Amino acid sequence: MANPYDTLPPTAFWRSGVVTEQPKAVHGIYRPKYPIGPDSKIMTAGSCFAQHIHHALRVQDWSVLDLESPNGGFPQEALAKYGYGQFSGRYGNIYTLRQMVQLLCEAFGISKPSDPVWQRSDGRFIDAQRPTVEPDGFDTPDMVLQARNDHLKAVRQLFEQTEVFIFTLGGTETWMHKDTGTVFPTAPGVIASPRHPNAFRFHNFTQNQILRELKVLRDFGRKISGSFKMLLTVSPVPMTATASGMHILSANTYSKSTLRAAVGEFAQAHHDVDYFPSYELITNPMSHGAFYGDNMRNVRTSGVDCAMDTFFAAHDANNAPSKAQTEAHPNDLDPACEDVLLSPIKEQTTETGRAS
Amino acid sequence: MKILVMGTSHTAALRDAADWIGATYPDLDVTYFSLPGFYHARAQMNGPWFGPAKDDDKGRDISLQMNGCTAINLDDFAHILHIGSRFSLVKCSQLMADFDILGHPTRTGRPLMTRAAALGLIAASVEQDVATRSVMADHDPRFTFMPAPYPLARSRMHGAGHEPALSRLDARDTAQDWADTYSKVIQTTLANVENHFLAQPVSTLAAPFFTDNIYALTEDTADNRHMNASFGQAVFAHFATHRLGLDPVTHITAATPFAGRQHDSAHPASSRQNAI
Repeated sequence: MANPYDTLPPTAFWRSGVVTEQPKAVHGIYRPKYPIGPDSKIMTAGSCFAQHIHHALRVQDWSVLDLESPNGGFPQEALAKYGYGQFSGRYGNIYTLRQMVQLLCEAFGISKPSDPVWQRSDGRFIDAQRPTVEPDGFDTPDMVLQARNDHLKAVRQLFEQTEVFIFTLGGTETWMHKDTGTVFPTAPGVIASPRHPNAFRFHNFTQNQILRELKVLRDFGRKISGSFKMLLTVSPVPMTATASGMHILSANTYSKSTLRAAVGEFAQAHHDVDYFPSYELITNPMSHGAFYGDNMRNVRTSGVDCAMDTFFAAHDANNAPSKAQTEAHPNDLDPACEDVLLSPIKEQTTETGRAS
Repeated sequence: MKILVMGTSHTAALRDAADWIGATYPDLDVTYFSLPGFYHARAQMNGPWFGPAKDDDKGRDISLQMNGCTAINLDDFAHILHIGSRFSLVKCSQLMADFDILGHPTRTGRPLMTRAAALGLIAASVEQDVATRSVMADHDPRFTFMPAPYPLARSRMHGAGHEPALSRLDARDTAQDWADTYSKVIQTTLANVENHFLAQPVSTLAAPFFTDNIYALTEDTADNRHMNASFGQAVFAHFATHRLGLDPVTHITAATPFAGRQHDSAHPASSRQNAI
């Protein structure tokens, strides 16, 4: 008698789907629900890994939107220093779905985040929602708000033009204003501090909370445009630090699994929401960690190429996989991530606080 | 003293003024070596020799036609005046024209950018531009760079040869400030690699970023970027005064016939002080 596995394709089995496959080209791992092409108006956002996606799309001359960067081909490294050219908007890394939804609500005048201006130890002011886009900071809080208002106009225009929203979910941990629920990409004191640091608390999102945010995001997009589609990915870049009390390895596993489970469930439920498996491609055991840099955190160019080759091959039959490997990301293995700033804190603690 | 005037097609303005330069500065032995921009950008150093690569047959032919040789030995010269680099002017002027600067009193409704970001992007572009010449000029204080002349004022008119970004910038009250800032960025960047900067003589300007129409090489308004011999005189006189320390008045001998049209501003005495 035949069993249910007899007729399954090779992709359904670990041996034929993983062990005997080249980790750089895993067949059948991504079967798009809907086509995305060079002319699709794509918006990118998310955590550090989303920078790689944006860069790869731009290098391939796909129609990835970017409404805030100056034209003319300024050096990519300089653009990135000032938060330009990394994503479709100059919003910096958006690590959580709540932060993304919050930004859209702000851009469309639905709500305003609390404590938008924080102050650095050198006296300069920053936009707490995108703390690194101005490395020199701002002279005054008012300047922060003027720049933010201008940014929000661009975000609104951007979202209104978007056909496909590629969002990379970075993590579940965040810092939240206790009274308002406003979330922030960095903890108070890492880059700058709010006026009342005690008004903030740590929060670790659950799967149900993420599902709710996904629904809000999808509903919002469909309200703006009936043809709005989402392509979700989970960043393969591990967390730098955790405030959860767990070991970082466990905390990272919780975070990535929660995101992956929520995204999987949501994508299964909606025809216009797809999942792109960059997480699986980079963490594939058959790569033996080769897609990661020496710190086992930053993704090597070969890893980015693997992910993006898979994407382009699935969406553009004329696009040979090697075409994605045309240009390394300017920061190659180290896209701008605010959470990297946590490392020195930890190292300092280790050196001064306890024996390692 | 042996001087080399080299660069792109913009060097022609000085070459056209060669007779005047020779007569006005008889102590100087001036050589000219130029290549059209495309071939200049691809030219290489081979030891001390600069010229089109050996496999660049077309470039070598052009060099022979223009210079009578395929390469020039830079070691032979005490000073080298390089004309024609654009120092990312097009993209920089787009940025200057199309963004409002946070903190500046004038707002036009354009996107906002901080001055720090704008300067950072401009500086990075100029650095990138300077770096392309590093094999030739890096840490060589004999080199003085004068950018390609700003386009003629008539290029503000729509039609062939129109300069859209610079024209947009011209309509803004920030143009002069940007012109000064941009020059300082180039000067600083070149100084970092021990090269010198020669700003376009103020007397040749009709407005920030625009050259007076009297220096047009041709009546054809499609070409608003190439200048005549009078412009070449003004530039060389500016170079001689500020870089060589030559008092031009004492060097001007009897009126000497020269090609092209002479203009008052070509006389160094009439040139206003410029950053160098």
